[in-house]
Amino acid sequence: MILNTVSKFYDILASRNDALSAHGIDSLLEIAKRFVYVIAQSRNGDKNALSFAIKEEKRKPLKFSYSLVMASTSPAYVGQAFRAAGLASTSEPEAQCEIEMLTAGTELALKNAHPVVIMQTMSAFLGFSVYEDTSNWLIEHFSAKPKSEELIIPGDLPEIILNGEKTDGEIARAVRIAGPELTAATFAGCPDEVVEYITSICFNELGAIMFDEDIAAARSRLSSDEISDAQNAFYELLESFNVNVTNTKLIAQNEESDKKANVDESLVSDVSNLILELDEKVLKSVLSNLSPKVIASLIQVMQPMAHDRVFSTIPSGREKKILDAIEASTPINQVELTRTAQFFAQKVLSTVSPHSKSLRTPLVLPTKVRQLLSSILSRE
Amino acid sequence: MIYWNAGLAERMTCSEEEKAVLPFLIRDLLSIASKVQQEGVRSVQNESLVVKNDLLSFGFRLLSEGLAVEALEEILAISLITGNKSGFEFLKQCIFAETLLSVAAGDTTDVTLRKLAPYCGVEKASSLLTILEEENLPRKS
Repeated sequence: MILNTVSKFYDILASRNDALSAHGIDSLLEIAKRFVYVIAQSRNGDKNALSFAIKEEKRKPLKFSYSLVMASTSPAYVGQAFRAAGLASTSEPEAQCEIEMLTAGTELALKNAHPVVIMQTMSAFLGFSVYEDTSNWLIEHFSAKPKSEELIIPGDLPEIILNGEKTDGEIARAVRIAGPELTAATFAGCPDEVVEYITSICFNELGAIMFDEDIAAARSRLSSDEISDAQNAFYELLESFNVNVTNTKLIAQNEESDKKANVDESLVSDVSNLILELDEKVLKSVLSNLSPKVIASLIQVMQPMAHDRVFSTIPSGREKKILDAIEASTPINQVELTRTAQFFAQKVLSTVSPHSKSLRTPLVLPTKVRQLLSSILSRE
Repeated sequence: MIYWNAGLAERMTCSEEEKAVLPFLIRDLLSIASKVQQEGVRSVQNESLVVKNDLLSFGFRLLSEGLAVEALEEILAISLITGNKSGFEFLKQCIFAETLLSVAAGDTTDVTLRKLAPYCGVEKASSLLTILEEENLPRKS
């Protein structure tokens, strides 16, 4: 919750109440740019960037920030270090803002945050008016890097993305949930065409620069197996939206169907209880012998809790076919619902019979299961 | 752990009349959040509520930069604290920030609603949930 974070920092940071002059804001923005530029240079392999900046810099707080980064101070002690150095004791708004801004920037630099994140955080102290200037400066200074070489790890993800199987909104949402690291690891193993598509639907110009950099880093740092694992995780994430949407549609469809067909509530209750009571092996075996279309119909005659058990029992490779069948299904009438439930009950009986080949050893049916089967099969 | 701060509480104090507007504001924000989850951030950048409010507009641009939720949260917190808003305007900004973080986390509209409703206060939150559910709010994004 944002209030938690705001509360944590509330007594450390101060409300500026328009106390910063336009000139003060410009000067502070220049300081932030200088700091971020040196950090970026140092990250890009310029070993002397920090020591040179310490030597040349005239402003004490900025000089001190560089020295803290160069000494690899623990980020947790940055604020304390500024206070101990006597730099934090000022009541002048601009000087106070400079210290707060540099403290935040130094902490992030020591946490190895991306220069864009450091700059956006530091400039947040100066208000929304500097966003355009900050963005333009970042684009100007961080967009020149050449793209990394394409790396293709075999998998279904590129096809799913490019064939329009998922909406742009779903893909962008998955990218947000996955976060920058998993997203970069995922698309590090995809063709350039896919990377460009993801960039076009998810990021603005600055976001595209960071995405490219993250992908290049992932390509040089991660093994093929790690990239493949990331792709599988991202795929699962995308598919989970489908399950949620389908479950929601299903619930809505069932509610609608209940109204139209005056569904026999006791039948829904019996089928749901039967699914919840059945031994896992038996349920797995019965479901594996039912077509996706029958399962889609059966789903219409059970409560959401039973849906969850059905989906948790079905192997993930078969889940998509069943979800497709559910998408394609229409609400069925009471007679068909009863027949579907009875067909399911018969399959359960044949699976647990002594002659069944599905299970190696016949199972004894618990009394409750027997009663439910009897109740379903005795309906007309 | 839940942190609380007396100075912060004082800064967001506002009247009951002002708070009465919050359910409508939250409904509009839910509609925006739902649109983002379905169509992406660009689809809402010209919405009047977004255009008229600096924090929302700024936050959606940061979302397009692909920042991690933690980074976004820190930037929004700094903007809120060091900004010049107080009273109802500050409370509104906190709600905007909460919406942005919920969108960044990929929350469904249901979850976003449950994160925003407490800003109305306990009694109003519960009636808000009932009203919006009766109005057939999109259940999932």
